[in-house]
This record gives sequence, C-alpha cells and structure tokens, in this order.
Amino acid sequence: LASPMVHCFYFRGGAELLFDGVKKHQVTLPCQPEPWDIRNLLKWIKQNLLKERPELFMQGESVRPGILVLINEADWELMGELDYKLQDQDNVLFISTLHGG
Amino acid sequence: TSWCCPGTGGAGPGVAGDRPCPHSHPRTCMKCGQGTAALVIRVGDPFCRSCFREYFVHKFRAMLGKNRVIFPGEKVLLAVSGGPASSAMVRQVQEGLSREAAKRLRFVPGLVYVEEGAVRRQSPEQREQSLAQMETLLKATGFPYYLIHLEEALELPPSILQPGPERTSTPGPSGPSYKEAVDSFIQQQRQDGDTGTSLPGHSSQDTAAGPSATPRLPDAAQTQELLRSFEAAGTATAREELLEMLRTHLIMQTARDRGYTKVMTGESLTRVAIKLLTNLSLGRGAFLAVDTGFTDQRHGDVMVVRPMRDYTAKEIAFYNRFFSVPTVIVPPLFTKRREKPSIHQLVERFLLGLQEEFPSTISTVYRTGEKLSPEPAKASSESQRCLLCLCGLDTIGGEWGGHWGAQGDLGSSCAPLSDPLALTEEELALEPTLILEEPAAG
Repeated sequence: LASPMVHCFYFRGGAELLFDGVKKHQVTLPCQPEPWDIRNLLKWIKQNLLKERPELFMQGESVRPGILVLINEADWELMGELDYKLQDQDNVLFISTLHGG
Repeated sequence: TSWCCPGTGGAGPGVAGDRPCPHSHPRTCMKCGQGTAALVIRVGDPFCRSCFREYFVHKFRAMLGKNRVIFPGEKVLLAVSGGPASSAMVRQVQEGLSREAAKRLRFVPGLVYVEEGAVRRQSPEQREQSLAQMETLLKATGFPYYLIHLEEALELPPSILQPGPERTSTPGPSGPSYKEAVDSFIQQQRQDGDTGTSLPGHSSQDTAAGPSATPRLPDAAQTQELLRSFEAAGTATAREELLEMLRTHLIMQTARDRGYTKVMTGESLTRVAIKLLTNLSLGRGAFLAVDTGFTDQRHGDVMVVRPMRDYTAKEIAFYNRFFSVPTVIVPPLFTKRREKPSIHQLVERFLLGLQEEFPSTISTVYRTGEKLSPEPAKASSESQRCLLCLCGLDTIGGEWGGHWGAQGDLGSSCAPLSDPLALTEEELALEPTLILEEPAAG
C-alpha cells in the first residue's frame, strides 16, 4: 500500500476560477491500493476539489486541451503525462491558456 | 531523439497520433546536451531552462530585426491586457532595452491598459482591485502608462473611424532607409554621450487630467450604457467582435493623442491560428493578412505590430512561470445563460482539441496564414472602406461580389456609404447560420 502523501496543487492562468479562486491547495491523498498516478489524481481532483463545471477542466480522463500540467516545475510531457506516478511532496501545477470560458 | 521503450516491443517514434513514448525518461536538453530538460517545445524538442530562455529572447529580437519596421527613437505603444502573452511581450521589451549598446532595442515604449471589468462581470470592488494590480505592474516598468476604461469608447470622436494621414517619417522613397536611420541614431547617441536607455524614468500615469493617486471607475450611467450596447449584440460572437473593435479604437485613439506611431499587441501563435479560422468563419477571408499578420497598416498613421505571433501559448506560459513574469487574470467576457458559445470559443475548442492528437495542427494553420499576401484590396476612396474595421470593402467584383452588398444609412452622424456600381439591396449576412449540438459532458 502506498503511504499517505502530501502534495501541493496550484492553479493559474484562470484555472483557479474553477476552484473557488483558490490558487494553492495542499492535500494529503488517502491511502489506496491503486497507485497515485496523474490519471487517478485527476479523478480525485474532479471529485474533491473542482467546484464548477468539470468540462472546463477535464476532458475524458485527461485535462482539457489548453491546460498545461507541470510536475515539480517541469512539463508533464517529459514525465509520462497521465502515467506519471506521484511521489511524496510532489507539486502539480495546472496553467490554463484558454481565453474565455 | 531516442524514444526507446522496452515494454512496447520496439515501437519507436511515430506511434499513434505522433505522440512520443509515454514512459518517462530523465530527458536532456537537445540544444546544449547538458541541462535537464524542463519543457518540450514544438513536437518533441526538450529544452532546459536556460536554453529555453535564450531561444525565447532571441526569437523576439529576430522578429523585430527581420521585419525592420520599428525605427530608432520611435514611440511604440504596448497594448497590455494583463494576460500572459502581452505581459511576456513587455518583459521582452524590457530585456531588449537593457541589453548592451550594440544589440539594444532602440524605440521608446509606453503602455496602455484597457479596463474591461464592466463587461466581464466584475463588481466595482473587483474592478478597482484589478486596476490597482495592473497599475502596480505598469508602474514597475518605469515606462509611461495609460489606464483607460472601456466605457470611454462611448466618447470616441468619429475621426476614429477613419485612417489617419500617413506620416512623412514612415519609410519610403522620401524617408531614410532602416539602415540609414539606425546608423544616424547610433552616431547621434555617441555625440550625446549615451548613458543607457533613452527614456527618462518617469512612471507617473499620464492622463488628460494629470497624474492621479488612485484610478477611478467611470460613473454608473456610463457603465450602464456600455452594458446596454453589449447586451444589444445578439450573440456571443457579435459581443466578442464588438469588444475587440472598441478596444482597438480606444488603443488607436490613445496612440494618436500621445504621438505614438506604432502599437504592439500580444497575439500569440495560438491566438493567431484561432483568429485565422474564426475570421474565415465570420466572412473576413479577404482580410486575414491584415487581421493576423505581423503588420497592420489600415489605420494609416499608426501601425499595429504583432511581435508575439511566433510564440505558442505553451511557450509563453512556461516562460512566464520560469522567469516570474507578473500577470493579472480577469474573468472572461460575460455570456447569457444557455447562450450558444461564440465562434471564437468553438474554433478554440476545435483547434486545441485537434492539437492533442495531431501536435502540428496549430503551427500548420499558422504557417498557411503566413502565406497570405499583406496587401488586401486598397480603398481608393473613403466611401470604399468599411466604417468599422477600416478595411477596403470586399463587396465588389469577383465571383461573389455581385451577389452581396451593403447599403444604407449608418446613422445621422455618419455619411451613408455611396456605391458607384449598381449593387443589389441585399444585406450582408452578419453571421453565418450554424447548427450546433450541445457539447457532450466531461
């Protein structure tokens, strides 16, 4: 079983508007048998943090096109995107590059 | 690049939809071969932070250097929205002005911010807050800045609907060539004893009423009138176009009032591609080059320049993050409940969605746009310009020209468009009819 992990999630570029305007969330993810990869993380965020219309943040199992994801200040494209396995103290930043809505 | 992946039976690059191998490897910068890659540019080019910074800064200089439209000492007004692209643009200008003498940018910048809170569903308190944040940002640059409210568009003079006279100092047979201008500027600087940036460090707000302590909001009646105009625009698409038109007019007026001969706007590559397809859908196919190109000379005396059009939204977002470029985010333009999305939003969604599967989509649209001629139909007389966008009318001639025409009185303060050829009285369709389906949830 994975031990509980503490993470900080940040939302910028307008993405914070979907999360009550809160830019930084520090969370402890619960223990669970499934690994905490970004895929599962997004599911968790959708259920627990997302306050407004989910389709503005997510599309299918990934983030909506136009939303960038940085893991510990690096492009998630370098880290395996949805398959990246979260480690304790990892920071995930979501930046929206979209224009209206 | 090596995208080996032991688990997939040797599947190399070029697997489904051009995606690289999804398993992570610690990547090295492809440029210096040493630094740890921080982001992927274009399709699969990993860059470290410092090579990325060089790449970003160089691109701006190359853009201006290649096009050679900004003359030394020229006053250039930077249109700032608080958004990522225009903020990155300001940073590039700051970097460029502070470089050592040989490679330094040589123009005199000012900043203009149009406060649009009235149509972005901001309360007066929120508007004050955005304004205060923007003012802090603008002040920190040391350049002269102008804060204007969208409500002021209601008071623009009718002269804004006409191109201004071409200035005698613009390049041409009568003026100096770019190279001559640069050489004589450098010589002059040496004589004057060049002490750094040519701009006196004055960071006060320049307004007609003089520098004021805190920016004030327009009175409620003006805000109401502005909102009425926006609400009268029947669709989200029309509203977006109205906003852009009023904002452009306000920026142009500011440039004219303050003696600026150039305006720089921050449209990114992503935004240009979206604008290309949006404007095509809006029936503005004849003006794609001027609407999205590097230069836009329809206003005559003030030229619009788009130096950020070679940067993707992703590059800009990463640059701002890595190098702490401040931005001020405001909510989007208001929409009515259960209103269909605008064409702008649909095109954005379409292009960005396609980009996920096919990462060359946006750059392909952009590069196709690059091939458009920057010389749309010249208006030989004022009556042949569109009153609102100042482009030469495309309603005459060609396969479709004879079928469409716009005539009629545009209000008592404007001269009716006279039409030398006998066209039909059919009204130009203002909006294509779209059949939309509700977007699927999630």
